[in-house]
Amino acid sequence: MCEFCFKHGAGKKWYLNSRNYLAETAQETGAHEYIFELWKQFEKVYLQKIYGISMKGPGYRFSMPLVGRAMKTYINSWFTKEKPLNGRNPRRGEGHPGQVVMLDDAKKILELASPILRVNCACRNMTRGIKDPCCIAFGALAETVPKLPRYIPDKGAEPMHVDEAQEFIEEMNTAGRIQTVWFGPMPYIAALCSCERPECAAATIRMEYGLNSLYKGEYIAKVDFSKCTGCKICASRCDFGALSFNDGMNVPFINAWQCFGCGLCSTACPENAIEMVDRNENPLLKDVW
Amino acid sequence: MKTSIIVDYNKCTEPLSCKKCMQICPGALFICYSPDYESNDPTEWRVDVAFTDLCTRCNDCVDVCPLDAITIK
Repeated sequence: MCEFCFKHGAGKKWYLNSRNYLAETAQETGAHEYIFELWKQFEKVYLQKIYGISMKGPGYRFSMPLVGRAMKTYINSWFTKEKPLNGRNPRRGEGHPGQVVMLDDAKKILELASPILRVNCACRNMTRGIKDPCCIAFGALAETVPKLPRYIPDKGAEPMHVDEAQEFIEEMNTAGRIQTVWFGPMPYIAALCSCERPECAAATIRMEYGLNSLYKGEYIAKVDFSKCTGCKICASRCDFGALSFNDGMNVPFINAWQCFGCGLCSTACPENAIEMVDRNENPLLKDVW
Repeated sequence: MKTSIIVDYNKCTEPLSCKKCMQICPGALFICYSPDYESNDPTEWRVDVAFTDLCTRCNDCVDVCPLDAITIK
């Protein structure tokens, strides 16, 4: 159980708590204003998340002794900020962390959320200039996006049926996209994204600078060597550098410290040799998020 | 060694109709933004670079730019 589950999970995982999807929760947290501000100025927010320090090269600042570490701690505190409930600063991404989820959990999320709308990925629009309708928006975000023309897909913003959406994320998973679920703002859940590195803004700042914008998933991948045939299909699936295919042993090894629990290696495996195990059952990894 | 990537906005006036630098960058460091956020006027949009400390100086963007607007220092 990550810290979000303890605070907002009601005994379950936070993204499976239906309360976090309710319109009332959106009202309480001021989600509509927050999301409108965030998405309207998305490009600037990305630059400004670390802009208080410097958007040009935060790595230079973070590498400063002591001062760099203090800055990092300060910026990290933004993502998990819970107060005030209504009126957190979207330009700093306050209360807007995400978590990697497995395909099965992502499907359960879609059953809880409504309405479901497919919108253009903000990250990809910003960094590659392409319109890729792969982000699935819920409730407040789905109501906000029609006001912002650059995120409306070419085919128009049509609400999706649950089955349709589940099929869609399955396609995305097969294509190698990582499913992530997003608070916007905490504890309201606004979106289910299909991310990919290096375009994903949050994955970049997590992986390159160690900022906690994106949490690791509730699972870790484990290889069953007795089933593995050494086909190497999993070798190209890991976006986080956790899985490396070992030629000498003819099996993949997974560095569980680095594993984000996205399950991409597991869904690709034709022999079902990669199993996703609960992170919380491991005494060390249960504290690694 | 600090890297700075400078885009000459006198030369690069409509990044949204070109996007070559954005699409070639291996680290996806280029960001297209509009200074006044909501503008639908394509000439208002600008390309800027975030996280220059991740730049490896592969020079792909300099080579691909048809307007020679990008310099890396």
